[in-house]
Amino acid sequence: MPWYLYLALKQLFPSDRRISFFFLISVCGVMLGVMILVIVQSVMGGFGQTYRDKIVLTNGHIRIESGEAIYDYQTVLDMVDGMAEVQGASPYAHGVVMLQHDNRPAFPAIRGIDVEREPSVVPMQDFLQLGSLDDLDDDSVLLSRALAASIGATLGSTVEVYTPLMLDRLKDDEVLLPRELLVAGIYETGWNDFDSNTMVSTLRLMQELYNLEGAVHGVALRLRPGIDEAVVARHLNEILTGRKRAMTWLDMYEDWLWILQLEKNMMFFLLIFIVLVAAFVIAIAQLLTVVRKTKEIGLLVAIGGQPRQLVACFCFQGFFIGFLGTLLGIAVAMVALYFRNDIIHGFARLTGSQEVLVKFYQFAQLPAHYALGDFIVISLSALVLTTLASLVPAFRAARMKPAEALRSE
Amino acid sequence: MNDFGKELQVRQVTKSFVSGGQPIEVLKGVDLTVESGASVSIRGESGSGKTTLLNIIAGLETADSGTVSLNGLRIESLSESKLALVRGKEVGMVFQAYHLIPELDVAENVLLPARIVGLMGRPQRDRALELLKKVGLGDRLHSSPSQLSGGEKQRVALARALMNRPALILADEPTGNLDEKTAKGVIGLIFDICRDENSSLVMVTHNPNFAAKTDRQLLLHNGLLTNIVK
Repeated sequence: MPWYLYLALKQLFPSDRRISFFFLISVCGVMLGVMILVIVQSVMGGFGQTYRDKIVLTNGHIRIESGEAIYDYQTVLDMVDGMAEVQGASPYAHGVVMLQHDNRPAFPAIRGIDVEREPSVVPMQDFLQLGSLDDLDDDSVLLSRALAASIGATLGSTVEVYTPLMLDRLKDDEVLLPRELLVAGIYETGWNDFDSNTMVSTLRLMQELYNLEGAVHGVALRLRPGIDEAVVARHLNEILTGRKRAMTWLDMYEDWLWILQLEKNMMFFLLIFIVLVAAFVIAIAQLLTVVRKTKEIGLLVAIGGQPRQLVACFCFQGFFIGFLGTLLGIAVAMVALYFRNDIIHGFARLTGSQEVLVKFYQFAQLPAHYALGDFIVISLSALVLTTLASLVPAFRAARMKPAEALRSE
Repeated sequence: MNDFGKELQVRQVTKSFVSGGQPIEVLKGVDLTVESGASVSIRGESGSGKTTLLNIIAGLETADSGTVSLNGLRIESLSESKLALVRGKEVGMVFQAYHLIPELDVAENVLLPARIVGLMGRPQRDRALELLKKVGLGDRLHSSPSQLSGGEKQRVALARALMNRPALILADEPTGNLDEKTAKGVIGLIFDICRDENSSLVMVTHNPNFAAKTDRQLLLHNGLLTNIVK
């Protein structure tokens, strides 16, 4: 080992085993910064991953739409059914209706699904808290839990549905009679966008309500695991006819995902300041060391040391503090993340905020996603900052004139 | 022991400092020759430039003019890295204030010059042990410098200076911080070991009795070196 690395380690871990207080404080500073960064980035990543999973779970990977009714959707289905990358495909029609129960109105989005095909794309049966998908027919609907609660409907209730088409009939002075439908199930997916105000009907009922004459609004696809949806969408766009376009879930939720990433990046930017403060602590501690060890620095040059080796000695100390702080920070963060749900639930129990946690964040469990990229970025940032922090004292040591250093009082 | 068959030659070295806006010429053309294995003492008033002269010989300071040759090498013409290597291998320095590294134990302090010149192995460890035995600290290898007395620290510093078998030992008031009895012991060691190792010695001291032990006694006065007849 080169002498300057050896001496750097010895100054951090002296032979008489009295570890420097400055060293401990500096390591703790970096450790805290890295720990908080890892926890926050992992939890933010966990939220992001959970949202991504929910989006894919409730929408499929790709949707083919044209902006208008698609009459030849069977051709599209035949085409995608023949593709090896596609695990399942299901046509759908969607729109907005007015819903009423016990004189309580709501204006939910409605999605008409092919009951036979839908499970291969969206596992609706898994989301049902009450009822069964088998009970869904042309005279019944499934309501989201929030929607059912808002109009006071439950399993077996009868709800009245008004569609925009009925407005035309109103203009012709026709008697407006709503469509009465039975609530065959109540679902909750965990994805707020889908749960807040939606209902599900059969495709035939939706075609009837919207007078689609056998057409659909789109075809949803689920791909086999590991398939790149962008590649499949690009291929589909090359072969689809007319105005039909294939869009991935990433395209559809681009803004939402961008905001999610922006929030994560902002958190990183704000929290890296903790490491920056730790780096300042290291710089100050090292500067004090240089002042305190002026004569030793002179001696090292007198017995054959070179200024650039002194720079390496001090920079290595900064690097090592950063390295140790980063390792400890990651280790403590992993422990904290492992017990995150116990910590959160303990805190929620203490403050009585457990319901709030579930209501607003929709997660009974705090998600965490360990991304190697996050760990690398956090570790490199901490190492670079702490090493750079040592440069100022290192150059100060290297610029010392040995004769003056040896004479210093 | 070593092949320092040549000599230290200092020729017409001048050095001045600026103090209070006024240039002060400390060395006014110093000449000095030290044969291989010889010992020289330099005495002089405080501020007469003794330490400056030693620093110039060691390449820690540059002279305004003049030359310093060590082992046939012109110190002032060497690159920084080459000069560092010469300092590490050919020159051993002993200071009044010992300058031991507090984070290293006794043995590690003695081994440090060998580490710096890139020599580290069993022979170096044996050499360090041998030197520490010579200076009477063979049983204090793993003591911390803070556990040593002033005399013991100076003996460790002496062992460190001799670690790389330097051709030249520069001792700057090595007994300045020691009581008379301890100082006598340390001076005795310096002379004994320099003789054993065939190292040349240039020693700055205020003590005429210690100076009298050297082969030549010089006085630095008014920026010039003059011989003191024994």
